Amino acid sequence: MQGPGPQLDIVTDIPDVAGIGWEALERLPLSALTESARRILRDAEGGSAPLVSFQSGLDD
Amino acid sequence: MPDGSIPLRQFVVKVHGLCNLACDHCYVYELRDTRWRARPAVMAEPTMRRLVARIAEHAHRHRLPEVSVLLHGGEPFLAGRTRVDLLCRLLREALADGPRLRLSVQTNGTLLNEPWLELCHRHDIRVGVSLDGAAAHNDLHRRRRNGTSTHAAVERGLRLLRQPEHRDRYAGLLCTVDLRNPPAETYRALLEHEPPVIDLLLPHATWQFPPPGHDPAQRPYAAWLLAVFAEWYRTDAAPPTRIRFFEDLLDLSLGGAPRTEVVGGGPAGFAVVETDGSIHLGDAYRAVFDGASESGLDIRTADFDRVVDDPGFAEARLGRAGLAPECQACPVMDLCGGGMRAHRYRPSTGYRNRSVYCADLMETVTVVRDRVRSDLAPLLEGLR
Repeated sequence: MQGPGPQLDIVTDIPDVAGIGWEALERLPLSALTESARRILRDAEGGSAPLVSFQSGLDD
Repeated sequence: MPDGSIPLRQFVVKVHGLCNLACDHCYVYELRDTRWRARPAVMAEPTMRRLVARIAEHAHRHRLPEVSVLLHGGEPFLAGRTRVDLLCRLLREALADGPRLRLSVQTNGTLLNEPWLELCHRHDIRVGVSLDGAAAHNDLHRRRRNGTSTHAAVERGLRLLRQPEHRDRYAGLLCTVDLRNPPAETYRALLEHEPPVIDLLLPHATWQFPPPGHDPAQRPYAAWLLAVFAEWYRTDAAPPTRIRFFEDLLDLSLGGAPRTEVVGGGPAGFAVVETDGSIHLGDAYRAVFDGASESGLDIRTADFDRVVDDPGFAEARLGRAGLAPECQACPVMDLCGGGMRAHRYRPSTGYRNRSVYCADLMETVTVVRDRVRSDLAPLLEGLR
């Protein structure tokens, strides 16, 4: 189930994502992936990982 | 490592303990917990006042920038507008000079009407609705006491919620997975209600009481979830809605943090307060054994600092640090985080086991991770 593994080394690519910054990210088409990058950038700016929420409710 | 010093930021308030429906998959009434029978049906005013004071003192003491209060049940609208209005007013007054207050309600949708929505606008309450798909999907479980369908009543509530004047109140849909319902068809049926967010919930289960169709060799829950993922995920366009479970997997695959207790093993930021003021770990524990959700603490005698310092509560918030050795050594531990803690329970070994959904989770997170990482390369390349 592990499959052939990722094509990229995520350890080196994640700093790249963080290094992209908002301006460059805004140029990319909106997708689930770029939305994810935006959330990660927001968290990085906030300085701490969010605490997890109760599953059986939607509060955002 | 998460520990008891991390304050809570979300409070799940059981304003009403009973429900006007009789869903046969309900984790509140139909699984292991029976103690709801002995609790008051509705949260009394003195309990609400004490709860608000406890939330406010916790928020002020820790200078929380934001506090979330989720009105829950049972069916929270059974508490009546006067009571809910009072609770919201008390919360707004108590937190007026402190954190931003986010209010939301999770309802079965059958009682949604204009007066309720007027109250939701007045108090800035966002409304989440539970729905399992089209009528045929939904009515497998979500029925009234006399066995009749609830789908038309929920649909009526959702139509109202989607009206332009109410649309900003709409938080989204919660759907419990049933393997008998075709995944893509279920997803499309949910999309017809234009939800801003969907979440897909696995039925609460343990090794002692496995979920329907449990089969680690065939991994049917992974197949179901991945069929929806295939419909939802695009690299060239925004998805038609957000799916919280998949967003968590995407974020985790890119090195981010999870938002909910389902995957990723993040420290829990919430406590559940029952109608009698008793404080609980979370609703998933109602699938474990009778009383498993109870912390033994109560808002009358304990503030929320005492709650987070309580050894039992702190242990439940350990996140990845509380995982079994086999999970600690697993290559996808950073992604699945061992799944929900309640789903790891086995009478002989407690919670130090892999999840009853382990095989399904492993396949799901692996497929999503590999897809996301292979799509990341051209994304980054285009920016260089």
